[in-house]
Amino acid sequence: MVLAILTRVMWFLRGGIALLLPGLLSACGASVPSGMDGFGQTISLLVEEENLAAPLNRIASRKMMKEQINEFGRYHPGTQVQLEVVRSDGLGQALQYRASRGLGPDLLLLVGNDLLPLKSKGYIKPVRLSEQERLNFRPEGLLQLQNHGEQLGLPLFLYPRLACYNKQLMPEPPKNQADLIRLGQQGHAIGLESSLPGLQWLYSGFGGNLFPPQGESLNSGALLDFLSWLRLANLQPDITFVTNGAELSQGLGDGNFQWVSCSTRWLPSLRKALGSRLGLSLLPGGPKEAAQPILHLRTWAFGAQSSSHQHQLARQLVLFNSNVVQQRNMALKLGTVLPVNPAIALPLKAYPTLGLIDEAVRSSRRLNLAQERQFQALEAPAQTLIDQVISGGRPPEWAAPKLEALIKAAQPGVQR
Amino acid sequence: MNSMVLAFNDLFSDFSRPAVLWQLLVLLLVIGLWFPLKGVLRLEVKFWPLERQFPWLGLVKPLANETLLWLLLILASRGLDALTGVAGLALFLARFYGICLLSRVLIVVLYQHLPLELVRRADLRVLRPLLTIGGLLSIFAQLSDLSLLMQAPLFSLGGQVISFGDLTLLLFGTYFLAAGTALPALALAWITRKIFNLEGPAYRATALLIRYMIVGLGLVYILAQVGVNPTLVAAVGGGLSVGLGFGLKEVFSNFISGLWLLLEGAVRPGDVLLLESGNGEDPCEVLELGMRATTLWRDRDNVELVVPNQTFFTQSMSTYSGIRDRRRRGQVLIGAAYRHPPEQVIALLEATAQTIPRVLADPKPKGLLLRYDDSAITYAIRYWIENPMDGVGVASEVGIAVWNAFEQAAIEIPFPQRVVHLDSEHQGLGSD
Repeated sequence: MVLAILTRVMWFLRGGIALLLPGLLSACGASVPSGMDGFGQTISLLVEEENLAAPLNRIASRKMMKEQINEFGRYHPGTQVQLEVVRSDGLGQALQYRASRGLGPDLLLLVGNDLLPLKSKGYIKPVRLSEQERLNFRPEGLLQLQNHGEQLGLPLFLYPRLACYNKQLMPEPPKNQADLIRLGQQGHAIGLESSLPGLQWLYSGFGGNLFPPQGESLNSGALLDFLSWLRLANLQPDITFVTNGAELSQGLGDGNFQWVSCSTRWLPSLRKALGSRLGLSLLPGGPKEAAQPILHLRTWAFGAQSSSHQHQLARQLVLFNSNVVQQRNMALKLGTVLPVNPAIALPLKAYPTLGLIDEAVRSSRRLNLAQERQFQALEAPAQTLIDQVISGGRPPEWAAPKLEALIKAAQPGVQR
Repeated sequence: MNSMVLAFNDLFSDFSRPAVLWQLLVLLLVIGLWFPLKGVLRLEVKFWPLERQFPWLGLVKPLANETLLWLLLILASRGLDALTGVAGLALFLARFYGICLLSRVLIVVLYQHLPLELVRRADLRVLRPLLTIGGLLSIFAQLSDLSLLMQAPLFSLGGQVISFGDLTLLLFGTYFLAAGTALPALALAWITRKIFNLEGPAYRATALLIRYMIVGLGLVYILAQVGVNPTLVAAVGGGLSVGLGFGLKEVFSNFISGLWLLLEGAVRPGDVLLLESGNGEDPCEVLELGMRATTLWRDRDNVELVVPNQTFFTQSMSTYSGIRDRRRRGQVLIGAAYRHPPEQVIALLEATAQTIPRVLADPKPKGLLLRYDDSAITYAIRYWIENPMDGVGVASEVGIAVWNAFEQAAIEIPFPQRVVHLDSEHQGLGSD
């Protein structure tokens, strides 16, 4: 009886395995026979999009991505890229849904570089690059996306933070934070983001560093000065704090603001709204240091559920997009980002915006993956304290030590 | 077409993912285990411990092996999920199999409460195709981008691009409208019947009209969803009109006749008719008023007659179930000898007819003296019956009862008699 059962089970399994064999071979990295174009030759790319991105910025980003995929297809015939776009707030759910079925994307293009949670949930896996391939990326960019020696992601572009203003209404942008207050007193409408990532550049102007190097202590005075400045700024009727960047971008375009802190990601819509009236400058420095905003990256990450063949195709797509020709073409076409390939010499004089972006990148502060995670964890509790100070609910002297304690709880170690 | 290729390539590529293959392998293992297991357990044949206490268990017993497979699939998927956290696809397939199994249980239950043929039709024509198509599309959606497949353009029709989704909607939407609206229409008609207190034929006609209405509205909705240009529809309609004028004249005429008959209410399902083309004696019941022809049932030989709808427009016909009522009057003729007083015979006939169960007590049976024939006085006993289809059967019963009653009352049913008188003047000539 048992023998009969076993015979039948084996007979059935032989049939099943014969059916699954092509898949198993492909999963093990075996070459796919010709005539089976498309089998294992399609990779899925999940692109994260900012929640409140203006339609024009969204279109520009999608258009660029589609063009790059088409370009990749020209040089890799037979390979197809299945593109899916999700908003930041739906990213986790989309990944969870797909990963639970074993169908996680082969490649992700993320707005930020908060990769550690994705790694811990098993959505992404590290990538290995040869020495030759590493030359496509600035070393500091690669280092920024490493964790315990593993390369968890690769950068595509750098997006620094700038100051955007209406040249018609404000001929000269503020040079420092005192200027900003003064312009606010003079009736110029100033817009500031009240979130911690949106205010960090102000804090850096007072000599503050959220992640001081090991051995250095947190600058308590800078925290108090920063919070006091926020209180002072909110006392000016023409300085407004808003909760998200989209409101700032929209407000500047509509003429409600004359000066805002902005991301280069917003430039396509601002250019459309303001045309030649759009002015760009570095963010105003503080009494102690120049502003050092956190540098944002557009980051590639590799899916953990791909077959080895699909992983190789995903690597090819990323390396294709980081080569000198593609990076240069994209940077010049978009005019709002800085390439990550160090071998590119951009005509910065012919493209003054790129020159300014280059300068902003150099003055920006980079967070490694661990710091990025700590920064994300810090954001919510710190925001409560900042909001209380801005709204006048609590004095800066009350909030400063609490904020200091929160920041100290975070691990030190910062790259510049 | 490119997006369609991309969607299918994506589907095939997914089969090279290790996590997908693991899930499929586990499901295959389970099925491989199930085959010998069901042979050993023989659940469908064995007596179940609680079968006597719960007789309904006997109904679902034929599905025992399938239920066993479903339980094994669910257990294996849950186990894989607990071990690896990646079993969404296996769980989906197990659950889908569960839905199919549930549909079988539903059919078994419906067989107990609704007419067999109705349930069989709904099962074969609607439920199974729906599960098959829905299942295939759902599995595709699990593995690839269904919206991409649906949006894939296939061909252009009069400047209108028809996508895969449009074609799917046109084909399957139309099919399910035609095949799957019978039950909903019946349900709506049942509600209408309750509200307006409709009689049988009117109820069935209402069901048919509601069904036509749902199909019509559904077609308009499908065409609107597909985005078919109204000008194109008008152009195609114009072309069809010419075609209808020549080749499809009869078909179209029958269809319009059917609709007209329904609206007018002259012929409705459930009506009982006497067709002039027949011998006029055998009534036929209208079973179905179709788009082209009407199906009639003749009791005598259990024949279904398919009569083109336009016949009812060109021929006059008799109906027992028209405006007044459905009652039919029957009659049996009988002769009694001259020596019996007519009052006695008529009273006996009326009393006898009243003993037949299918003869209505009100109006009362009526006996009549019809004429003085050569050998007997011919009487008629006239009576009313509820179901016009029972005419011949009741006449036979009445006839038998009358014979028995005459026998008991010693009333003679005479043979034909002829008295021959011979002329005496010609007797001699004859003898010579």
